[in-house]
Amino acid sequence: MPKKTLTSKIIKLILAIAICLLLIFLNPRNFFNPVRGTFLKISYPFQKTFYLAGQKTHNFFSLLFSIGDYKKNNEKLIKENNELSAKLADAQDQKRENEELRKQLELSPRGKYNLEPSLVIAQDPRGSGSWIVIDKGKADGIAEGMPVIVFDGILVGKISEVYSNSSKVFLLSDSGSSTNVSDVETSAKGILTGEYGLGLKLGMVEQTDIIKSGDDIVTSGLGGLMPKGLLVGKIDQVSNSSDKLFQEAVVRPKVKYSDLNVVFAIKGVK
Amino acid sequence: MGQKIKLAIIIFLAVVLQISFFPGLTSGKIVPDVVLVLIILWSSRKKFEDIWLWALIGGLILDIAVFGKVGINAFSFILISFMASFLKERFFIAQRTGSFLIALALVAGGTILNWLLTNFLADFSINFSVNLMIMKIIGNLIIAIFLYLIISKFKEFFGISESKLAVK
Repeated sequence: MPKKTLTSKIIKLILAIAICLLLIFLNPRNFFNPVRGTFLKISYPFQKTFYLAGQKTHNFFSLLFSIGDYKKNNEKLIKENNELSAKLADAQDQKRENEELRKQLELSPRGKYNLEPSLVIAQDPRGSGSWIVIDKGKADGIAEGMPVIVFDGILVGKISEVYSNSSKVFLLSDSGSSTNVSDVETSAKGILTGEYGLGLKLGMVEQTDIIKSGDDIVTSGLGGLMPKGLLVGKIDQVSNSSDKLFQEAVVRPKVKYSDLNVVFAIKGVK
Repeated sequence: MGQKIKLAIIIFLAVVLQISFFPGLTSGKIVPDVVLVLIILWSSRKKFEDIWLWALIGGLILDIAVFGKVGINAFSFILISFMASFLKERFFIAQRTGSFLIALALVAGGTILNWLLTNFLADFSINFSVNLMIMKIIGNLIIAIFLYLIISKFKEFFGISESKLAVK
């Protein structure tokens, strides 16, 4: 290889690496926001189409792979159907009781919030369950900090960046996420943080407070735009923090964040 | 100019595939690095001088699209592109018939290097999981096979002028 070509190659490599390292270390996040906004504007229809196409393909293959299990499932379902018929009467009573409890615990009922339904159009490709992108933005009245829920008041994250037609949602499972929560049954308060996309952790619970496996966790309404009573998950395992000053717990989310299709941004209370 | 626009469109579509189609398809579990694979396959067919700018652009667009620190993927792609191009020219030149396997080997190696670099540069720590890495390599190899066949079929569209590995 001629020396001149090699030198030119090395110069280009060093130049490109220098540009990248400068960007990484300076990390000018806001500087790139207009570029990101333009990219999202252009890519919006493609992202929407591609994400839906990906999900439809996923559903198609899931259906194909599950055909073999249908017969077995059918027998199981018939058995379950009989059992469910017996439980139906009991469920009517439980429904009434549930409504009462909801009133008492101030859990978010349907229709309480001004919701903006949104489709998920992209998600973190690193598989760390860190963020999703929804198809609603500034034009639809979405603002930074708004809580994002699924169907019946189950919190999944909050709006972190807003663009004209789309927004980035920071999921609860992100390692940087932090939400004030409380135990529904004991009213113990703590802070819920993400575990690098692997799950949720409840921390900073005082030793005098009581938390136990199976308890539901809801938002406490302290700080920010987060309303009180949004369901987050269930306590799975309780332990002490490494310094023994606080209690902590693993929290099992109510929904699988990687399977989100439709979410609702809470724009305000009705 | 027309060729440059075509390449820009290909990179744009690869980014959208990586952040929208594959997360939808795999429920966000193992998402193949479509842009990385594309850059490696290009690097194994073209000279570094022809590809470095596209590696930089592809990396920057991906960085912007994934809301991460801008420059991480661009840095990784430039380095991997240089290494792929260097290895191809230095060591694989004699194996004209094995270009497909060579491309796959470069993709596997590039995947590992990209994983390490992007993880380290994101928060200056390395979260290493052998299982995830293996899954990622398999995912990238599957994509590489598809892309290799597509590139071979539509060489001109992808800006490839020669069919065999050669150094001018």
